[in-house]
Amino acid sequence: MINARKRILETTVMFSIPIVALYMLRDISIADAKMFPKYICYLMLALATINAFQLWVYLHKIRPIHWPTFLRWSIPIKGGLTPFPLVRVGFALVMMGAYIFCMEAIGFYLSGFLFFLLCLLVLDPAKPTLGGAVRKTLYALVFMAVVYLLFSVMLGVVIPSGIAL
Amino acid sequence: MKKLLFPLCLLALVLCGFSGSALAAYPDKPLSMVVTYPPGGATDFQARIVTTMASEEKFFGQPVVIINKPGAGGRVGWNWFAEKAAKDGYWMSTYNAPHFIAQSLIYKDSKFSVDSFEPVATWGADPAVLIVPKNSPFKTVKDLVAFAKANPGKVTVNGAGLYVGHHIAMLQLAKAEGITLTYVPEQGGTPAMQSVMGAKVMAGFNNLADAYRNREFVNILAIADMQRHSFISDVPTFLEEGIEVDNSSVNYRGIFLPKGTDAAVVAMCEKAFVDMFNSARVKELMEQSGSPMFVLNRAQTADLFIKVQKNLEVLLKDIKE
Amino acid sequence: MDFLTYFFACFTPIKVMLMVGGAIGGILMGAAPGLSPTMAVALLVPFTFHMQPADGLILLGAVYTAAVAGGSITAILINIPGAPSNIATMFDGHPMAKKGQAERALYLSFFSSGVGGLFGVAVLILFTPPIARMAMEFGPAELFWLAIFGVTVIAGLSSGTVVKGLYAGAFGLLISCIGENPVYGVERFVFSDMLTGGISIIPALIGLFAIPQIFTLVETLGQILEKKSFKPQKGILRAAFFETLRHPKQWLMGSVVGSIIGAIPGAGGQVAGLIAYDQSKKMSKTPELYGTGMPEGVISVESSNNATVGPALIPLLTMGIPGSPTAAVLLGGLLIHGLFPGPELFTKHADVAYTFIASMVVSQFFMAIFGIMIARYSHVVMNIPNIFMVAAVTVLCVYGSYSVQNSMDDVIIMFTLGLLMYLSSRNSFSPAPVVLGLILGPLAEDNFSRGKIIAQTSDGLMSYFFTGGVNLVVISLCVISIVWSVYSEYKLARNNVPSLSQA
Repeated sequence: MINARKRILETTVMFSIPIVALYMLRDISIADAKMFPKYICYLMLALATINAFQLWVYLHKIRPIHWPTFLRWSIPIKGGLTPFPLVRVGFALVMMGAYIFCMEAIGFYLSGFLFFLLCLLVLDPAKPTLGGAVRKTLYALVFMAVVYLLFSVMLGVVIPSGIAL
Repeated sequence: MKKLLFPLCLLALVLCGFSGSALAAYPDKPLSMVVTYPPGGATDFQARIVTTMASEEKFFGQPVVIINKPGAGGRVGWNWFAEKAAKDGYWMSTYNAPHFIAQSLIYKDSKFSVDSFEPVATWGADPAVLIVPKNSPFKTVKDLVAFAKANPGKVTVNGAGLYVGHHIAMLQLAKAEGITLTYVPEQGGTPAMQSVMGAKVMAGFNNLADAYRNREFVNILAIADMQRHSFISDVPTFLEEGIEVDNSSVNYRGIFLPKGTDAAVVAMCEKAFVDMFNSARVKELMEQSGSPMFVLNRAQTADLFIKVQKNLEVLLKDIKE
Repeated sequence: MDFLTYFFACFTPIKVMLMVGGAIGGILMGAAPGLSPTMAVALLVPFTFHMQPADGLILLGAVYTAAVAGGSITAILINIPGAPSNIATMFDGHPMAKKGQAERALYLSFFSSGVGGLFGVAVLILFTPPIARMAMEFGPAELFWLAIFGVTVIAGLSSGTVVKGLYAGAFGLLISCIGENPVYGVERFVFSDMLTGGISIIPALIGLFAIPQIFTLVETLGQILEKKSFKPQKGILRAAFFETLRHPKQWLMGSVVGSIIGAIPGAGGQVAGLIAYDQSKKMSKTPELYGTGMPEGVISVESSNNATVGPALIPLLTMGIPGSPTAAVLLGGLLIHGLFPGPELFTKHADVAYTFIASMVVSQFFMAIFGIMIARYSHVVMNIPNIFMVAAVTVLCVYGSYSVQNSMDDVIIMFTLGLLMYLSSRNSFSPAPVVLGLILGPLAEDNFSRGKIIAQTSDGLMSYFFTGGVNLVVISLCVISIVWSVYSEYKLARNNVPSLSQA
């Protein structure tokens, strides 16, 4: 029943976004400025309700043929053949987060180079070898060099520069 | 060994950077100028024009790189500049008065105020002008005022945004003549011009530069300044028409540095910029693009800020009520 | 037709070099995710300071038109649009690439871009006065209805999952309200300093499309897929050329849509592609095949987004009102060279103006030629191991988001939106409606507010928004669009009922 759990979570989120938004709108004084987002939130609540309804019907396994077309099912994603690679995705997430937050501190090119290299090393499902690692460093260098040439030298665009390049 | 070469080079570069810059060496790398408006806009291209000569030895010897940080009518850029810009003299910003002063007064959570910055110089003054569509029944300001008196609230006047020079001019006009005008804020000078051209609003305040360039399509009724301007010498000032609107709404553009920048650096910047603004090439380019110039040095700019702040405090108090 | 005399003036060596360089550079810059046509032109304006006015303009024009076309490369090959105008190219372009038809898709795309671009420039040359007049007719009310029309397209895009598509669109509309409202001056939803300026389109685009795509690649890194090494095939070029000719309905419709939307100032030419896609789907006999690799999908979209280039210049050159954000940057470029838009441009500076327009015609050909040459090597890109794609695309995306407004906050916004989208995409929410909502939100709201202020001073809300020739035309378009969407949903469901009953 993974599907059902996922769909319950999704419906909860669908409800909570407009509710939070409406709450944030409360302390705006000018009524006109609130109008547009308010109606959008109402629309979202209505759609979330329809989704919840579909979910309820799904849980009770009623056949969909009788329903009017605009309440058709959304196709749930079937479970994949392989288990979800949580560790790898997690690593990718952490690395990206680190890259973004360190970019201003240590400079664009250095952090880009480190990120590229770490990506190649960490995310590669094959076994790490020394030769492979050296080759990957080279690829990272070449890539950042091309980006450097293209943007800083040719176009003269300003990049966030921290301690280093 | 190849693996270590790159980090070694980096280390060398880093150490060079840390060797500190003696004042005599300033500036030894390109300067960054923050423009708080999108590329292509008036402030942006005027900033580019006035800094084209910066690489010449007698000015800075280094180019000035324009960095656009647009948003919220300039507030996003100025918030960033007041808070996060380095005070080493390599970061400067354009200013638009009365915009930044008005915003600092109206928006309580702004991170800047008149005192967050060291004024350097001013390059341009763009007075507000009252424009109407080509086929408008209003031929003079008096026509518009008379109509407004007879139909309070019916006259729509637009401008490039809220609390910008145009808005202030409109407020002054309304207060001086005791009429109620409806202000329609637009997304910027060009959309505002477009609305007037298309007769979507009855009148508008806009920059002299834009109005002058589009004078085939709109009629310019009056200029909100103390004297007529050479670009449009047959347009009277509000004061000449007997209406108490002075030059508080003039859009001044110039440069400032973050507060706390070294005084010697500020002085050097001031001299370089004032010389650049007064150079023949810059004058020629600015005139070519129809942008009026008005050069002030540091002390005069500081006075200007104080005067505008005082004016705004009085005017804006009226709106709050 | 003094135009013809100037046509040959644009074939001097320097000008040809500029057009070629502009075409190549524009295609590459348009392809990089994050470097939109607007930014590409903005980056080059300082270069043109030291050139002759005519040369500078030629370069900028060539880059503009090439960048709009170049974005289709990444859209087709790696499912990440290079610019908002290329979102719809992804829908059918990438499935074609996955089936091994990347080269064909790219050829179709560049041929259609060339056709659309030529159509747009032809409109610029032949129809400037009436189009300029039409563009001026669009005030707040008309633009509001145009935005509503765009919103009805959102529903059309998500056929099959209407509820989620509409929700995603509503979400886009909601986040477009973040930041300061220009008409009332109040801040909404600014719960963090980063959001004072609101959510800008390019970082959002990159986040919503690229990040989920990157994570999808990360997920599949472990699977040993059948190494689909794509090989170049012969004879595709000629086949693609004739195929483009065989679908006149598509590129005609796309070009007309693009021209009209491009000419209207403030209407957001970025949505021209999406609207053309929607119309193409509606016109087709097999709408359910859209999204699996229909060439019609690619042809209509690409011709439409290149057709916005020429007409965007009409209000710019005649009145100084830019018809698109890129045209706004061009305006700055014009002014710096002392060329004031208006009748003066065509009399006092006729040589510059006409040479520029002539060069736009020639640039279309260069763009198509170089695009095709670059497309020949598309199989190289498709064969790059995914792991490199992940790293390289991330670096480019981070850079692209930063460079739009030189703001670190944009990168963080991009990443956050991207994560949200990635999580939602596993529940079959798609990013295109969100971006549409983001683009159309300000258009709809600001024009409604402004219209309301004006309407209150004259005849009242109802008459302001429901009267006037242009108003009625656009309103009827909206109504037709809604009715047609509902009808096609109905037809779709009816056809699928037998298959569902087996489920």
